[in-house]
Formats: sequence, C-alpha cells, structure tokens
Amino acid sequence: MKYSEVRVLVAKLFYFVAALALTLFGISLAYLGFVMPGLLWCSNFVSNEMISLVFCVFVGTIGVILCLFAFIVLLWAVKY
Amino acid sequence: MQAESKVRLIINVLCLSAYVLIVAAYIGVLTHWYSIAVTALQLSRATAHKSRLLEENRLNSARSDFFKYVSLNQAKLRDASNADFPEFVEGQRLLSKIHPDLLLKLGSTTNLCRDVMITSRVCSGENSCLQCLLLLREAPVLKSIRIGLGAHPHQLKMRVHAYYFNNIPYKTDPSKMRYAVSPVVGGARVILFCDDLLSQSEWSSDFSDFGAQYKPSDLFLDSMLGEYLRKHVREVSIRGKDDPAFATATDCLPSERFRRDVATAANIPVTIPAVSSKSYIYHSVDSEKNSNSSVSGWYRDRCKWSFELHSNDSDNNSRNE
Repeated sequence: MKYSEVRVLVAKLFYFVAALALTLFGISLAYLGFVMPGLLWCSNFVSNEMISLVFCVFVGTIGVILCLFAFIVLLWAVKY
Repeated sequence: MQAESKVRLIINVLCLSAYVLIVAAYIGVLTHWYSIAVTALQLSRATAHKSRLLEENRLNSARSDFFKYVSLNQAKLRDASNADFPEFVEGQRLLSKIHPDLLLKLGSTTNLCRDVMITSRVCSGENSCLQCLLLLREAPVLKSIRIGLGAHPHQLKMRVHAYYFNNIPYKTDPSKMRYAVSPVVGGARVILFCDDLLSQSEWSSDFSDFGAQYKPSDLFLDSMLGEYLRKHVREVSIRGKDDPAFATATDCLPSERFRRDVATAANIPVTIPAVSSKSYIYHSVDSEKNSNSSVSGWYRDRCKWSFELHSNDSDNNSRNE
C-alpha cells in the first residue's frame, strides 16, 4: 500500500468520523431544542414560563444546521 | 487504478454503513426515550385525573353530608348557646372534611337571616378576614356557592351604599334612614327616607322629577333585610322628608324591627323556614366589593361569611339560572 493511499484512507476515515460526530451532536441538539422542552412542559416538570422558547428554537436550529453540515462533510468524505 | 477505486468504494460502503448504523441506533435510542417519557406522562396524567375525580367525589360527599346535617339540625344550631353543643361539634367535624381550616361559628345565629356561620381558623376577627374569603374560595366544593354577607348587626355600624343621586352611589349611616312599609300584592312596598336628601319641595323649585334623580339602592335593603326578606319587597322608592308618608316613617335601626315589619306586610314568616338540604341563599361577592370602602366593620363582617339556607327550591332554581 502506497503512502498516498494510506493518507487518503486516513483522511476519509477522519472525515467520516467527523461527519458522524457532527451528526450525533446535531441530532442531540435538535432533540434537546425541539423535543425535550415539550416533554418537560407537558409533564409539568417545568412550567411554560421556565422554558425560553427562543432559546429552545435556537438550540434546535443549531442542531439541524449541524446535521446538514455533517451531511456535507459526509459527501466530502465519500468524494475524497 | 481500478484496484484503487475498488478499495475506495469498499471503504466508502463500509464507512457509510457504519455511519448509517450508528446514527440509526442513536435515533432509535432517542425515540425509545421519547416513547418512555410519553408513556410515563400519560400514566401520570391518568393517575392525576383519577385521583382528582376521587377527591371531587369525596368533597362532594362531604359537602352533601355537611349541608344535610345543617338542614336537619338547623333549629338546634340556632338555639345553641355555645360551641360545645354536640350539634356544633358534629357540624364542625363534617365541615373539616370539606376544608380543615374552616370553622363553624356561633355568633349571629340569633340573627334572623343567619343559620350557619363559617369562618377561618386563622382569623383573629380583626383585619384578617380576607383569610376566610380565601379559604372559602379555595375549598373546591364551596366554589359553586357564592358566599357573602347577609344582614348582620355589624353592618349597622357601617356607612352603606344607600341611594343614588343623579346615578352616583351615595353612602350614609343607616341611622339616618327611615322607612315606611305597606302591603302590596305579592309582597311589601317600602318607602325610604334619608335625612341627607334635599326635601322634595326644595328640589322641585329647580328641577321637576325628584324620583328620577334619587333612587334607592338594592344594597341598602340587602344589608338591612338580607336576601330572604328583600326578595319579598315588590316596590321600593326614596322620598324627601316633606312627603306625607314621612309622618309614619320609622327609623331603620334596629334592623330587626324593619325586618319584622317587612315580613308582616308581605305576610311571610319573619324567620327563615325549614330548609332543604340542597338549597341555600347566598350573597354575591360583587356586592361585597361595592361596600369595601367602608369602615373596618366591613372586615369584621367578612370574618363571618355565612350560608343562609332556604326551603324555596323554585327561587333557588331561578337564582341558579
């Protein structure tokens, strides 16, 4: 195996791992931003006033954007 | 070259598969958590609903027991001279099941309009009577009842909203008010006189319609007669001191005399008839608000919120409507 092939392989793996990490992190943020607050609110664990909807939307949106970015990184990894 | 692209393809497939599997597993875990949370939520809601229903049933039954007991023992409660009477002890026991901080009280049970008095355990009787109101309002089974003041001797110390002049409510001391009562079909006619009013002749020199400018207040009659008697008053008017009827007018105080005269004119018993367990007269909180700018007696009165029990079901039905 040539050195360039090893380099490509390592880079690919790195991109895949980065895409995976970004995806998981993005999904977590989207879950925290869009799903968890609703559950907490419905269960009366926290009151409606205690949840900042703007903050939740912000976190959830960041999560979705991260997921999209992760998809781009994934494509990048495939093409590399 | 071909071998290299083949290796690349294999790596891509492997990595993508791993990626998809890990992401899918992660989403699966999150979905599982979500479903667990939703199930727990539904379970807790069902439990809360069930316990609320049980509590409502318990309170309704406590309320029913209390009113039934009061209606059956009304005479004994009225005649009781101290709070150690077995009827009062039993009544208090039943009332405590509705709300532990509510107390059955003696006091103006000799008042013609008052059979059962309820007050707050924390109430000292001085400027803390709002507690009574809050407790009564918080007691779920009592929410359906509008509780408030009836005629009460304490009110006689207050200035009350007695009449309107030019549609503006005016308060005055009941001792400045006089009344004349005469029978009419279906009830009693009451004419009120107030020392503060201009005489009709004075008034007529500048304006024509005395009666259109001066109007008696229902609140005054409510406070003097209580609802039981006031609803038998068919006509009520206010006149100046130079009216011929003033010669036969009597002081509104003591209110017991006023009540007795109205009852006689309306041909009804002056005392409240025997009661049914489910019907009662009550006074609105709104009418309380109208008199809240009076002297501190108002607070003292609020300490003694009461129910007035009444047997006339048709009246109560119409009231409930």
